[in-house]
Amino acid sequence: MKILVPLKRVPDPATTIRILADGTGIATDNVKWVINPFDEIAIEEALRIKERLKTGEVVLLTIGQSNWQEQLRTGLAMGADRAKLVVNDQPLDTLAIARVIAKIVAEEQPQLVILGKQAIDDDSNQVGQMLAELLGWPQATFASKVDIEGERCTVIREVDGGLETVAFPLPAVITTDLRLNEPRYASLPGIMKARKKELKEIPIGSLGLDLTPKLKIKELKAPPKRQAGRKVGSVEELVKLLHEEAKLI
Amino acid sequence: MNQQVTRQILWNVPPAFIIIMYALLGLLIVAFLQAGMYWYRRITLGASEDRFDQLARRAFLALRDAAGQGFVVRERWGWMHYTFYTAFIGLTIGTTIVLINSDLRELASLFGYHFYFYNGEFYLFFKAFMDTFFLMLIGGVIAAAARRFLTRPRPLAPPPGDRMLDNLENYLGYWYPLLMLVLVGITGLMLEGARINATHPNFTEWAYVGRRLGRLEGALGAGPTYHRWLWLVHVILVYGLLFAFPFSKLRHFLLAPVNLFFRNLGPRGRLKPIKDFETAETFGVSQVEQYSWKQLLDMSTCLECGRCTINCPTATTDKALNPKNLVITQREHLLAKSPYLLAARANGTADNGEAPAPPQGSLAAADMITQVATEQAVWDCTNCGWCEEGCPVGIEHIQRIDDMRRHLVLMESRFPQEATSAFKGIEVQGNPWGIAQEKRAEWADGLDIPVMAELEDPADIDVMYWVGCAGSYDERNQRVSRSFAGLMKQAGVRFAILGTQEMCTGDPARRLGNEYLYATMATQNLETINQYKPRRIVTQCPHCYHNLKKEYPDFGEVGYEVVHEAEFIDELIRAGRLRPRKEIARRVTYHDPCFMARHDRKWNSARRALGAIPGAELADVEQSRNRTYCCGAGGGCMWKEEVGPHRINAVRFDQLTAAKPETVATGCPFCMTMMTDAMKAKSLEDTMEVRDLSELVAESAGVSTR
Repeated sequence: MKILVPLKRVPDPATTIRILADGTGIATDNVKWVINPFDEIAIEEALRIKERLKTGEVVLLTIGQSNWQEQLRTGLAMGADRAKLVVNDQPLDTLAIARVIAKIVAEEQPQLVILGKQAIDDDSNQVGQMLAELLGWPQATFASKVDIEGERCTVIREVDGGLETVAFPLPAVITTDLRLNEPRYASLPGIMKARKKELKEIPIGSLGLDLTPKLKIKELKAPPKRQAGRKVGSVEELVKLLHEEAKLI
Repeated sequence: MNQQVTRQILWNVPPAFIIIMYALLGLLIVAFLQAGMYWYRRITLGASEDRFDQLARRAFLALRDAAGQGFVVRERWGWMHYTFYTAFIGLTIGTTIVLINSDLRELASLFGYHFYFYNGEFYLFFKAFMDTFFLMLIGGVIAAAARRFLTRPRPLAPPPGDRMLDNLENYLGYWYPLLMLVLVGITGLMLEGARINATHPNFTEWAYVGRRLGRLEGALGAGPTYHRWLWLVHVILVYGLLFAFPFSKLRHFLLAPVNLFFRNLGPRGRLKPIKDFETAETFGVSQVEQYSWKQLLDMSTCLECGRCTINCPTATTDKALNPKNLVITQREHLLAKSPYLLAARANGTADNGEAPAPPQGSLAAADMITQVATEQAVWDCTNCGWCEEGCPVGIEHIQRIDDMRRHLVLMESRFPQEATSAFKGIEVQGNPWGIAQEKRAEWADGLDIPVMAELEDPADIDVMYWVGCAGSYDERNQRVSRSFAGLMKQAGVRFAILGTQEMCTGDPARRLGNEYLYATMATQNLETINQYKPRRIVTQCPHCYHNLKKEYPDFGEVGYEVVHEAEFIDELIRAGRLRPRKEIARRVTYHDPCFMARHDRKWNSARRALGAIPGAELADVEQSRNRTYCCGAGGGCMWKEEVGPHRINAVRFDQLTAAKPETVATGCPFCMTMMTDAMKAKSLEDTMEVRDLSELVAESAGVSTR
């Protein structure tokens, strides 16, 4: 089974995000970049499916600048077979990303697309759903367990208040939740082999897609700094403050 | 007169008996050669390793530590071994002297050389010495046997039976060599007595045991016939003992000097780097024959004394890892597997699958890591170094364990899940906690500490302060960094930090087997350091200290000297630049960090520094200095869950409380964490405290750390 895993490069979660003075984006100096953690889970799941079925191919895809190769190589080191990098330096919205992925899906003809439920930078949580719609494929988002038997797939989804089990035929789109698996740490032979694996760069213009953003980021703002706490003397005082200042009761 | 003070050698011994004696000697030589080949072929199955440098020094050290028994008598009971070892050597020399004066003398006289010195005063002294040696032999062996078979101390607990071979050596065990030793001693004395009783020489005072025994034997009716047969019995027992040397645990008598000869003369605690990541096909060790020949020699030499377990933090807390059992079971596995390896080597069919394969389920076919050593044991080790400190024959345990970790991490990516975040943290943010690199110098906010990159001339500083990840990010240890920096300021030391340019030395990655990540970190850090060419580096972390000092020279040019905070503070106090004046009237015990005390033999400066504090009363526990006991965090164990019934830090804290301290002082950020946790787990934080030695000196010297 051929599985396509689209992934995004994001700042390491431990990095302190600083907003540019004009509010148009984030400062990227000193930022350490990693694979979006949910996408890493997607790579791991794809590899596990391939290992279980003992056949197939895992293809990675990302849309970004040439130096995003580093994250693709990391995925290849984990065990993916080859990678595609759609080279782009223009701002793209989620629908544009979904369109690019759909185009690559048309070329590659995978039976399964697995990707993170959201990227931890802008937390949009849209690409997987849009992609399924564009392809007309079934989708299973927030997957916490994936089972594949023949042409049929069963996914347990994490929904508010419980678990939901869905079953659908392939091809399909699955987006991963946190508890689906623990991504592996690349072995050294894996790292060495990854250097020689195919990594193809495709200029975004060659895809012939209209990617004009329908969405424009107007301003980014840092969350307000947390105020220092206050110690109150008595319950009466606390009630009074909650009523008069916080207006909670 | 002198001419008469002697005895006739081989008196009353018929020629047939003498023929038996020499025939057995010939057989013995053949047996030794055969056993020598047996072990040589097995040991040389291992990979190459250069241990042939400094031959003269090696020879001297081997002789000193084997014949001198210096390592053996480190433990009290070692004196038993010392006693019968010395006696055995003495008796062997004595027998050789007798041989020289009998058959060798006759042989030499054929060539015109005439000598005989087994007479006169020499003979008398000789007799006294031999009787003494006999007594020492018998007494020492009986004491050793009593310890082994009656009191059965923990280090002598038997290794796991399911992984032991069913061979002659294990059958003979220790009872056979000990029995032979004691029987040889007893019959030797009886024989001397029987001869004295039968020949009645008038100068027997010096044979003070033999003559008394002879009188007893005479009273019981012994005569020349008795003497003659006793002689044969004695000779047979002697051979019973000598034949046991190559085929029993007594092998260590022969291999220990060899192993001590080839011991590691490099820096203590250093691990071997992997030189070639690009073309090598395997990393680490998963098959016993991938070990170096020295590591196989280690296994072959082990005499199962169990000293490696005495202060071992995992053996004493009943974890899967017991260094003695590990090295023994690895040897048994080597022996079981070696016929197949040797056959494969002989046929040259190692690769084409035609070599005979060991039967399924046999010890030879067992997977070394998962079935012989067990994976949990491989991950338990804290690299504290006790096993190598305790071992009397120079066995290197840490590298052998780390080699298996390397295989699991680098080849199979199989390791405790928790370690992943430490690896990724080091990779991405340069610290095992994975906290943002840009926050590394936040501990120094408001302290006005210069950063190397901002200095006009990096040569203007006396010392570069390497803070380490714990000192930079861990809240408790940030306080230590602040007080140490404050101390240096007060002493007028010109120092600077690397700030956000400093990265983890890579130590957790390396000790957990991730040598690839370690090599990356080491290379990167060395590049940064060499940009500024500091003359001296000071750090409060013994792990950083160890890596900067002993491991980094394998990764590039090292032009600096490294000092630990304890040495540096001691130096400042002794130079009069720091004056601890304020009294701290507390009872303090110092918990020696393994990587300072054991791996670097440094424990005095910390005590001198603490001793300079007025009012502080220093009290040491038994497990201190080079006998210190691990806090549980070393060997990368800080970054993974501890598995097993008892917690190492709790055991250590109990040891420390034996000194009834009010303050436990440390010189290591990880010991700080482990000891503080143990104190809190025992709810002792109201009456006790755990502090870094620099904090105590800072308090006494009136340093402000705010």
